[in-house]
Amino acid sequence: MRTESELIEKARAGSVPAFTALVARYRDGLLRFLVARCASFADAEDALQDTLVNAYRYLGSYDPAWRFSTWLYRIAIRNAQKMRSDHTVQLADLADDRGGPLEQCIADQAERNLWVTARRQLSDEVFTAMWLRYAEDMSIKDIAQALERSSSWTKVNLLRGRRTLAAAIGATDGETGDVGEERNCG
Amino acid sequence: MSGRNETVDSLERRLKEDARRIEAGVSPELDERLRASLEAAEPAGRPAPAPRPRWFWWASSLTGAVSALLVIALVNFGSAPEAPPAVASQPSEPLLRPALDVRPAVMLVPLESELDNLKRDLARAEAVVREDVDQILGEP
Repeated sequence: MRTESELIEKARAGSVPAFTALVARYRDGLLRFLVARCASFADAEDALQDTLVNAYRYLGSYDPAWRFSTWLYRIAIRNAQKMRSDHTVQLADLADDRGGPLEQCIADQAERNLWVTARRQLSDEVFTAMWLRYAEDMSIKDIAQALERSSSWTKVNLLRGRRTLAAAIGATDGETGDVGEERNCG
Repeated sequence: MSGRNETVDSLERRLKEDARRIEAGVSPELDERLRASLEAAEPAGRPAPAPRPRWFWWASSLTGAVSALLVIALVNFGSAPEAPPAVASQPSEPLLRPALDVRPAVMLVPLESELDNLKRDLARAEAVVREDVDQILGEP
């Protein structure tokens, strides 16, 4: 079993099998993230392909001071944004879309899945910050790096995202809307 | 306070659980497509070359110094130096002697006559002074 740094070195030297092994543990997570961000499953697959090809092509510029996963997600975020701008589909346009790729990937009670609510209620950046925090267990610092934002921005917008979600849940489930008011995400 | 934290924990737990309920995996078709696109991709830039060993700089410096010495030696000792031209200890004869018609200028006549005029002026002045002295001293 090779370590990540060994695989990175081999992939930098041009080894596709080493790169494939390197990203194997991240591919499914990336695809889930892209399915949640993109307008269609096909877009998510295209974005994943672009992400991996770009990562392979520019692996020479990867800075080991970063977590490799953070670097990968940063590329994926850019590709998701590019995919959205290429298709000129706005989040507001998707608000009433009950059959998006995210809903299709949720086996049962998709409407009750919080990420579907988050997708409809939050902006792209806040949704991404929430996803990286709660679906990928990333640290605030890594999320800030992936989003090219400050740690303060990340903390504040995670708090706002939680409040928005709590309010949305409260509207449907009768829960209170001030969740996380005194809780620091850092 | 604790109620709020419980709500936060519940929300976070639910976000994590709901993320796990999203079933999206790389299908064999997508896997094949990814593999093909990676095989076709060319790395944009090779990694920066490893730093040169320390002996490389010493070898470079030594080579440069030897080259400089070699050039100096070739320039200075490669051929017998020509004898420097002898420096004449005496002033050399002029190479060209122009044909000059030299004649002495006659300068003495005007100066001699001027001297005579001055002597006469002096004699007259002396005579005038003697007359004045005689008049002054000769009067009672």
